[in-house]
Amino acid sequence: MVQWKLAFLISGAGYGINILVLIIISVIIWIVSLMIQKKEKAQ
Amino acid sequence: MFDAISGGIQGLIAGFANLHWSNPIMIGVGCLLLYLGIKKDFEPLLLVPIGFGAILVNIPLAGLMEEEGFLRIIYDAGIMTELFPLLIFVGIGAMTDFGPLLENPKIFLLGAAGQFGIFLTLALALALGFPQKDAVAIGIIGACDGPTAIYVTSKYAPHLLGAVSVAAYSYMSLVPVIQPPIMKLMTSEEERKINMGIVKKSVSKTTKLLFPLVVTVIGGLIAPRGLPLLGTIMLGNLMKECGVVGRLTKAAENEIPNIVTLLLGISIGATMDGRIFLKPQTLIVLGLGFLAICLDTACGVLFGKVMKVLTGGKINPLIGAAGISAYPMSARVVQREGQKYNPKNYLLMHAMGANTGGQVGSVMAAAVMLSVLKGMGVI
Repeated sequence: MVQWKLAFLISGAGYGINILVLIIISVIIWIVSLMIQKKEKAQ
Repeated sequence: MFDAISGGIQGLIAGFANLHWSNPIMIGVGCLLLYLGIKKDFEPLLLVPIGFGAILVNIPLAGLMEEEGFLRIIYDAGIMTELFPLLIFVGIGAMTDFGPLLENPKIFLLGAAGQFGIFLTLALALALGFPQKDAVAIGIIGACDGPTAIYVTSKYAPHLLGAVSVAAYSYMSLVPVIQPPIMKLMTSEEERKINMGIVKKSVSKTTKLLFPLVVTVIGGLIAPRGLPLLGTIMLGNLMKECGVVGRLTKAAENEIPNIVTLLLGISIGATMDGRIFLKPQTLIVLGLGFLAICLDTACGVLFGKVMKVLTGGKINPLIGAAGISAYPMSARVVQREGQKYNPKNYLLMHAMGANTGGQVGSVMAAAVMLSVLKGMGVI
């Protein structure tokens, strides 16, 4: 049986969450590196 | 006496007599893999042991994959327990420099875009009627990442392990052939000429140390099913960046991956018994895997074009093609293609950033996929 609904659900949810997780991580890393750069400049 | 001689001769020809039609074909496939590895230099570290393993397992009556057979022992100890891919990941982490990625964290998104093929191929495999766990294993070929593909397949569809790992490693080695036409098709000459300047080297050691910890904790909390993959690659990277465990880092970069690669390769080859391997399903798996890698590249370049627009033309869309896990091959392909159109262009370090983003992205994609499927009750 062709499982179109499940196929779209899994790929949509999976890819969406994957992008979201990587956005969260890149934002955290960006903020952390900015904070470190600021601290180093201040010193 | 005649009976004894006849019995002896029969014993000597028993191997030939028990040869299934598929065995000589698979011995030929094993030789082809050896040829590609030895003569063409396509992923020789993997294709040579895989090819030889395929030859060994297709010689009848040797019983190498039966209980107590030496290939079965290696397979059960390292593949069924998922230990080999995880040990390889420690090595990959120790060999990867995330510096260019941390220099420009937005490039991380190219690593996310480059995983589109995984999810679309998973959907296609489901739509084609593959059982759910098989579809997961087929989709993961799109990660373009051998150890991730082996980890997921051995867990959910071990009967597809031979086809999936051969597809994953063959396509990884064929990245320099597969990617350029897609890159050319999807970009204009003006876009390919964009010069991105040089990568500064201002990432502090603290940031480099925090990166593996942040990825492990955030990624692990969101997608705990993939924590073994994420955790091992990040452990390797933390050991490299902290600089106080030189001996362990050296082992993680050399001895451990060398030994595990040999055992991993030969046991993957051992799954290529012609009676199990040669069926139409294998061809479909190979076809879907190819499609996955093409889609990854196309989607990465498309996302690169979006980033080019958003940054006012500062990003060369070609680096989007490096948002897959084939490290560092994919980044080198981008550099070569970029220089074809603008000899002064030096995209390598930018592409390396996208490429390491692709490595984390592929592991994260596998982790997210497993957690989403678990949440839906599919696995």
